[in-house]
Amino acid sequence: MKKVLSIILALLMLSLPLCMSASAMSTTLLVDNAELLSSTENTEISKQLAEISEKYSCDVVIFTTEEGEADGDGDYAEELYGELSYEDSDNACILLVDMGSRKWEYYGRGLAHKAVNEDGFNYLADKFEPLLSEGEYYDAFSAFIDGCDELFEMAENGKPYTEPFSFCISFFVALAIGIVLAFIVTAVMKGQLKSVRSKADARDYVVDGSFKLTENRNIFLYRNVSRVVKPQSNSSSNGRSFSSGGGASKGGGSF
Amino acid sequence: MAVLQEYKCPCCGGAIEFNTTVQKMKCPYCDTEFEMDVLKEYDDALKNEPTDDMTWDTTPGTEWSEGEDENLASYVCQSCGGEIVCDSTTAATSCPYCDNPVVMMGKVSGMLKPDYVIPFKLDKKAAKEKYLSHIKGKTLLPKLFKDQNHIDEIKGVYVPVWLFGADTDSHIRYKATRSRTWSDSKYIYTETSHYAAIRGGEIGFAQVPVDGSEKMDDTLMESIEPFDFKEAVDFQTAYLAGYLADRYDVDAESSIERANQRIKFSAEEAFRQTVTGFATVTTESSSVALKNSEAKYALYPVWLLNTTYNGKKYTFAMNGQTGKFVGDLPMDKGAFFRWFFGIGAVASAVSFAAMYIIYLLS
Repeated sequence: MKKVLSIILALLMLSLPLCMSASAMSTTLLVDNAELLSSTENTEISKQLAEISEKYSCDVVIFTTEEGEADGDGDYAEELYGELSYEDSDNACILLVDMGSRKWEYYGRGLAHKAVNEDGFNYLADKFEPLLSEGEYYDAFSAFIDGCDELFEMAENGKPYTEPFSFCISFFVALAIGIVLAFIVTAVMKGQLKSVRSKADARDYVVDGSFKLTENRNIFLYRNVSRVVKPQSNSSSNGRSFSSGGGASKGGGSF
Repeated sequence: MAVLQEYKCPCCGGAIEFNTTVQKMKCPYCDTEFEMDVLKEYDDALKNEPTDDMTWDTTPGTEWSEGEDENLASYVCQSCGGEIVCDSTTAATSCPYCDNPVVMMGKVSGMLKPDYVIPFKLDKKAAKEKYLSHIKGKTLLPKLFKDQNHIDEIKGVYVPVWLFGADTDSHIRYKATRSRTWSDSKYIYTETSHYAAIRGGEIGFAQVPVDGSEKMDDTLMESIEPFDFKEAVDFQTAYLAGYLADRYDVDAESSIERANQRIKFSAEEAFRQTVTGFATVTTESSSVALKNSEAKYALYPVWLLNTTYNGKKYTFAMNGQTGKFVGDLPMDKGAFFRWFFGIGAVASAVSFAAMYIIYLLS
């Protein structure tokens, strides 16, 4: 009887981790259509994705393709996000790598939105984008997962990532402000010393009531149209784009 | 005999051709298209533009009548050569322009009698007060300059001016543009419509003054304008008592160019006010013709103060009628750099602190 009970207990213990990861595995967390990873690497990345998804109850998905439809603004990743079924559709993120257009896109909701603000987005991208460019896809995806882990943890602790205060840049910006302000104030002071100016007009000597308009016509000559590229309001540094709103963070870049 | 009509592009000035594809006149250089009627109207407007006619009837001043100038004495500055005239009861000792001693030459000769004079309305005391007020509150003025007392050297001088007055017929063409902007998902479009705004009419000017003294800086004299000619009176030598009068050494003919510049500029500005509803308006051509022109010779009252600081001459002038006081002041370079670096350092420190606080708060 003891032997039977210990076998049942062992089976229960073995099935427990499977049950725990069931929610994370309800969606395939790694879809490598572009075949960037070997089978070993595929298994390892899938395992890392499952772990982080389970740790934060937030599905982290990596999707690779060769379609060339991504343009780096996050729209394609958003579309894909809608097509995939998540355990919790309002708490997940996707990294899309498109080998056709050499663009990557990110789309995240819930914790993946809270954690990946503009600063977090750039921090994350700085981790994996250079590796994508070098063709180190396994390392890039690992770096992405590690980055998500760091950002999610900070967000869960109530302190989402913010870029560290740059003393050097701030010093030079403050110096430039000081110089411009000093220049304006001293120019005003110098202007107080000058009062001799020539008078180009004779308006003080116009005879009252002498102005009479006898000819008044406007001839339309021609028109021309010029156009300039509309600046992207959601642009970010390093040639990336990022936008946040509606409970989601999205963006992308090139590699 | 047929005449070949050639139109110039209002946009770039190139010769325009008829384009059979668009059935319009099109400039082969800038690709701008024009309606035929528009070009004809514009061309007619260009052809009918008159040219400037700014000639003056200049017979200002009058000859002295018998015995009228007997009470006037003439002095010459040995340094700048300026000739000063004053009442025989007034003793002139130094030149009002360069402060050097003057020498009495005797009676006035070869000088026109002024038509008008605006008598001094403000006295030396008022001029002193204005000078003190002028140097007050100037942060970069050298302390040494402030401390030196120059105010007793202020002199009242009647400065000779030529007064030009005329009715004008003006014809002005302005280049005007109107813009509208719209955008789609990728581009911002700006459509600019170009117009020729043609204005014509009359405007009159009276007593436009031009400095008739070479020693008196023209810019300084213009800076203390305007003078109110309504208070001018016919010239009488009695008005010179107690003051110096400069004898003109720039004649009326030589002063016409400056009067024309000011009158033409003001005519263009006055008609420009009627070109409304456009984003930009620039004068493209203008012609002014004078009618009923006349020039007069007058003496205008000016309080003058000359001083030298660090080897450089500084002249101050006050309108003896209105009290307007002008004169460029020297700058303390040490104070300038102290203020510049002081403000720069404080503003930089405050900006840096503000950026750090904003970072902490965000």
